[in-house]
Amino acid sequence: MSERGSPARALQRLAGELLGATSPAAIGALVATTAAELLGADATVVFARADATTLEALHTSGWPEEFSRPFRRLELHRGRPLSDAVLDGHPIWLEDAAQWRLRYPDMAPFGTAADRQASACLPLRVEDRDLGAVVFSFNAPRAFSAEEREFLVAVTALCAQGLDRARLLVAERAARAAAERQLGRMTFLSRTARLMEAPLSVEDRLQQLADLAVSELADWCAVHLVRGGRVDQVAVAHSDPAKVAFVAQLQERYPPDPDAPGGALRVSRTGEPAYYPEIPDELLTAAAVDDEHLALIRSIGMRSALVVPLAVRGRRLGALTLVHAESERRFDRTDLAFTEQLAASAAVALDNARLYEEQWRTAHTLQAALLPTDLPAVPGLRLAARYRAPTDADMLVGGDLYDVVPEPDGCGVVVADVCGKGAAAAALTALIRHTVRAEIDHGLGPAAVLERLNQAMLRASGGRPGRFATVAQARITRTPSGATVRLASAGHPAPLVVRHGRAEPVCAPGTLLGVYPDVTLAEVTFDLDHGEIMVLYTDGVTEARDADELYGPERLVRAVADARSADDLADRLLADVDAFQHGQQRDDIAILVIEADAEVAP
Amino acid sequence: MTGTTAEVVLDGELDISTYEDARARLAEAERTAPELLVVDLAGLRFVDSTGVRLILSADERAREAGRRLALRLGDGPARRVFAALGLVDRFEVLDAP
Repeated sequence: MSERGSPARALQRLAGELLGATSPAAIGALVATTAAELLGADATVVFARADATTLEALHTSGWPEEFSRPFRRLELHRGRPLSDAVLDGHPIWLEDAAQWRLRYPDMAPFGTAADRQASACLPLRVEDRDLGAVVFSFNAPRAFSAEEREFLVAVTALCAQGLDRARLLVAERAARAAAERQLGRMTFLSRTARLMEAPLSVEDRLQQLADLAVSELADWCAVHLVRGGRVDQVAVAHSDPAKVAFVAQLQERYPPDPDAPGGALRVSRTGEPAYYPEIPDELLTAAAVDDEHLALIRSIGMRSALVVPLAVRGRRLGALTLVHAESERRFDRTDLAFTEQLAASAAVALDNARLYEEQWRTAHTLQAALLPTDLPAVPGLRLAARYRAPTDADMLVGGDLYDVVPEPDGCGVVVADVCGKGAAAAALTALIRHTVRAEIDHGLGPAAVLERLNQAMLRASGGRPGRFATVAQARITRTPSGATVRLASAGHPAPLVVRHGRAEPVCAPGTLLGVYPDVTLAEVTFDLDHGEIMVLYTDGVTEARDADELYGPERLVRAVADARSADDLADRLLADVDAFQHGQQRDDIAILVIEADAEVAP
Repeated sequence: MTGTTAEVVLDGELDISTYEDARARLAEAERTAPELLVVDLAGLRFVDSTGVRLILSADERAREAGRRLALRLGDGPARRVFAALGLVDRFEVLDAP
């Protein structure tokens, strides 16, 4: 070994080079080179674990193509040297062809192919993570001294760490891309919401919606509306006007079959979405009236399609169709869910335009859809939430929101209040809920979550100061004595902490969101011991009124000071506010209560 | 100091029920394009988010037109609300006249 250089120095160099290698194949190549240089390994194959039963070759060197081809993918089988190394987590050392034949007679023809003699099969592991294996092969018999074994084990360990890092990097990139995509889509939704409020005719709005959809979501978009007993196509869009004209002629010549399953006409009537991740040719053949029709619809080149209903409270207004054609993209389940959400907000806006007097009711529906129906169970914490819409039917609902995002060691919570009322406020409430969820999942702390939310709100309002919101966001982590709370507040009413029969506000100063590109946010951290309770609320509580005054912070403190549990606090507070305002509630109210549970040990 | 100043005094309550009236009074003052528009909120007994939004949009319009907008907040409800929303530092705030 000495004539080829110092193993310690080689390992050091390999560790350094591995830091720069981000792809699994590059890592495999570095390992092969190092083993060849230091030990004179004649061939190396690095395998990654593809799934529970399969290995996949990441890098092969020294084996002619005809020998390595069958080993690109290997099933794990006990009783083969590589599989045994992976399954048992121990290296297998085979010093020469005779040992191969003795210990692995079935595999010896493969292991000693091309006149190979010795082989070392080593598992790639980091902690308990099983990442694959490496096989080093030698043309001459080799005794594998203790020093050589140590060196190969060390090379393999470095390789495993490199692969583990690369895997985490890929996972992190994917998570970031997913979050960015989600933010992009939320911005798109809110642009759609503004479009649907524009002073245009219903047809013009829907045509603009279709145009917007083909700029971002699909190659084709069509909108159908139910009118009396008929279903009319009111908008169709493609980036190429010639194609729009072609389809118009096609439909004139071959009117669509109103009963075709999964067609826009049928979805408009039934309210059931249709989802075609792939459009096989048989589907076109079945839909075609004759050979010429078939040739024409084939020429459109449809690859994947979604047809979702435009419906509000069970009333079917029409359908939104998206088609991928020449881009050869495919819709997946996420696209379907997003398109349904888009159709739902478009349908609400459409309904508002047609039935203005019912607007408050649809906004209620949207608001209700934005609040969690059930709070998640979070071990070690007791949660309670209440939402109360204004009593007066003339009042539009506001944009109050609460949400709980479970985390492995606790949860993230948010309470927000969007300025203004009606569908537009509810659309911004949707943006807040989705953005906060995405950023919490991303691992950001409360102040950072609120900063990202501020950016998302400004993007959604086209960079101009828009509707503002006050938001309180807290990250709650279980501890042996209860929980630790990290809180940031963007101009939101100060949460209260109830301990030893007293309620005290926790002040985390901060700027409201959605107006200024720079916001100042102070994060505060405090503990909730077992049995202590934190309550977050919106200003509908403190600004509740009787004949001559406001409910105010002092009444709030008195109402919750004696609370015995999260649910008890929420009930007392609502009852006290109700009694004060004599059942006449002007603004909406949201309350979220978190108690460090005395019963459940973390 | 030369230049034109206009002042709008809002008192009582500034919320959804008085919003239209307050908006019309601000619009009237803005029509004369004063270099400085002072909005006196010191005497308000109550301001809600609708009222805050009205002031934020007036401020935005003033910025766009290259005019100044200043507030009198006094030490009552208006100051408390603007402070709670983290807005006091965002405005030019004048003392009581």
